[in-house]
Amino acid sequence: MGTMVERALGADASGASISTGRRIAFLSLAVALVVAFSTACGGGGSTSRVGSTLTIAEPLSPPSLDPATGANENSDYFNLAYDPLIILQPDGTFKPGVALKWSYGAGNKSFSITLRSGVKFSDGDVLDAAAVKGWIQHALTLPGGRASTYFGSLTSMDVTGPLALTLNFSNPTPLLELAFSQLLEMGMIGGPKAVAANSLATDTDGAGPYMLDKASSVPGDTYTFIPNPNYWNKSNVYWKKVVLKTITNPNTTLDALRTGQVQVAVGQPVTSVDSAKAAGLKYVAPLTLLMGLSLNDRSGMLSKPLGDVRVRQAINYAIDRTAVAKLIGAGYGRPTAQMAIHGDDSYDPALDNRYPYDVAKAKELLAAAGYPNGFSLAIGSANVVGEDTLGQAIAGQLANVGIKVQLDVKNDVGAYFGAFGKYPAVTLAFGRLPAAIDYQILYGPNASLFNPFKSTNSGLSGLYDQLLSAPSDQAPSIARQMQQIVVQEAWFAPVVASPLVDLYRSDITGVTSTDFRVQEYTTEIRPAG
Amino acid sequence: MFVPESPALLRIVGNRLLLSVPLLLIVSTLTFLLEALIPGDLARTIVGPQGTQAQYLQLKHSLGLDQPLITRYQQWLENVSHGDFGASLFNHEPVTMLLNGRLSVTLSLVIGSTLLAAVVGVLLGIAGALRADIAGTAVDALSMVGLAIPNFFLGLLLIALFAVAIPLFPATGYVPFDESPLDWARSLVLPVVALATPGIAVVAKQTRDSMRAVLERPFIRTLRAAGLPRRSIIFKHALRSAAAPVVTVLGLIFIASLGGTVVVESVFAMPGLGGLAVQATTQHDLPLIQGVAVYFTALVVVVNLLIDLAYGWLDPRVRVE
Repeated sequence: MGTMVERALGADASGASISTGRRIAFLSLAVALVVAFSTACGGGGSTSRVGSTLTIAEPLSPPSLDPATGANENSDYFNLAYDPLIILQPDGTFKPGVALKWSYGAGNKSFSITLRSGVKFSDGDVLDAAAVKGWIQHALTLPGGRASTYFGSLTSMDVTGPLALTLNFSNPTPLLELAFSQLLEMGMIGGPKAVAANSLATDTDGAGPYMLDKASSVPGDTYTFIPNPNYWNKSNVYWKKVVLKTITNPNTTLDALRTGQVQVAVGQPVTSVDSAKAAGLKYVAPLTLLMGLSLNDRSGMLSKPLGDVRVRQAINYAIDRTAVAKLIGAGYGRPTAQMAIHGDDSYDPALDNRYPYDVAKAKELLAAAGYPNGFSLAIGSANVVGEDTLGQAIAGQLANVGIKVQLDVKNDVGAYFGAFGKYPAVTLAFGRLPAAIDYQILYGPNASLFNPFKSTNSGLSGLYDQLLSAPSDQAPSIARQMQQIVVQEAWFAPVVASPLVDLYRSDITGVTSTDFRVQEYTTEIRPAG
Repeated sequence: MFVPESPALLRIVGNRLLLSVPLLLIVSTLTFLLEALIPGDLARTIVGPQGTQAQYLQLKHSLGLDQPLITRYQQWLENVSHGDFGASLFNHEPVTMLLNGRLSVTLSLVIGSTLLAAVVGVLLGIAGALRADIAGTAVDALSMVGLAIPNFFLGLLLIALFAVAIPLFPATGYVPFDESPLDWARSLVLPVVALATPGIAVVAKQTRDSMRAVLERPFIRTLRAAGLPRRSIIFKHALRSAAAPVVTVLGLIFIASLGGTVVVESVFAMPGLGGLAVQATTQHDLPLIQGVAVYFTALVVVVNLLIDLAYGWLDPRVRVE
């Protein structure tokens, strides 16, 4: 750099002329630029590729293409190449996928599956019972995979025929239809050769309608899928090519939709809906995230007041959920006082109004607990999916009852998760899940991240045990009782169910999300008409 | 391209290349240390809120993130000495493949924007130098406007105007040259303009000031008195004499544009190194961060070398000093 600056300062006249060769080079460059720009200007026209190619804008790129990770935030990357054993339908019921039929054994301690015949992986190998067994073993040993959440007490797998196997568990294990569906991805079986070659993180080998075209893909940005020649259900292939394109900027996503460069955009912020409607785009806005406070320090280890249930209830009364829902959900959210909404097994309509906005009641409870002038409360938060805005809104409302919030907003999700145990309360944006899974990862004694102080409640534990072994028609009643305890004990201060939005062009159909299935299923997306 | 033929220039080239080795080492070490200071945890991010503590610890171990920092750095250095940049901790792809796959995007953007800044900026600067009144004021005003508009805002504006309202260019994405040269050019127009605009302003102002100073020198009067055509005096003699500081500025613009690509690639959803750098940093993907740092440093070294060679071409004294 020194030489560069010295020459700049010491520049002087030169009598040397520019050689003809260099002049030609300069001219060539100028002509090339002009041609490039003029052809660009003359190109014009629409950039739409609707018809043969479906392009979907994704807000995230996946850490792995292996569905055994169970990372359902990346489900589109798995859905295209892997048909699940069982398909979750928009109305919440299940239908056969790669599995033709299934059944629970006594006390939900076993699960038998019969597979469809004639199903092959994209590499041509047959998908049989042995492949499913090998796959579950792979999922259970995959570092960071979520299989142990769903099959934690698996003791053995018996292959009872070429297309039949039975899973045996030491503890009751319900929800296996859901685990084997596209929602939790454990039933998306990969080919044995690919498992052995350890190649599934970066490539695909499934029994789905498409397979990855690596040569046309840019890892971390663009993933191109082409039809799987060995697919068992050709009528389910609607596109010659499907491209998943990572676009992190919501404005850019909207522009790409408007110009037809992409046909569908999933996981968009709710603030994009009005602009999308104005541009003639369609949308679905399933209520995906339950947002509020997790009042983690339920025994008052870091913040003594939180150890008193009256204080936790006071916090619930002090929050104007309707106002916050308007702010966070941009008019598309729904206020909620429970960790569930319509469509969830633990949803209890009677709990919706358990904590109406009542500042006087909140102050009364605080005074009764010995905090008439309020107290200081540290709340951890992160600037993801509006959690920081939520935290600020709640802090303003808690100030009205004398609770002085110190909000600590982290910029990194990993850092935020790692710091959960340092705050008596944190903001929360949690996906909707069945009660049994909520217990495991949200508020049960082994829910390490979201229950850092190991809160326990004997009533909850008892109900959880009953839930696990209950027949499916009795499970919702038990789940609702669990929700009643969680709400009564005010372990959380739920505020709003907020949507993650899917936007799509009018020449597309099949982008279907409901209260019973909050994620669209990529393979259902097809040309309209 | 000017080929170094004098011992002085060969020495400069040799020195630059020799210095690049410790420079790369220092940059990689600093990057490693700085990354360690950023709060966050890749394993926790991947496992997500649904992951259990056991799943988190299992992944952390498998990624080698439970090793001491110094051990990880030593291992990285050892692998790099064998030409192996390792694999991304996030998506498991080889770092070299990830970087090479995106290099053409970033180079297209940066070279395109630097060339655009050079051509348009120099022409505006010359106009400003020759017409001190209105044109000079206009160049000043353009410089201020060009510098004042953030390129993300300009990018969004260009998309709204020339992709959405008047569909001349694609709103997003990048088409490789070998796939379609025409679509490649079309995909570059808007991002290159967004990236080049501040540079155009700087080059125009530098060229105008430099040209004005040269045009007042005695040798220009001598050339005029000798009856040389005005165009020849301006473009052959004055411009060449005024070019060295402009070349310096262009070098700096090229380097600054590498940083600018971070924003522009995001706005136009282009798969370049800038976006990859941000992604790798937010994900704490250390092998990838290191790879990006090494590539960017190497690019800066190469650009500085090219600028030194350009001085040799512009000023014969450099070749004999």
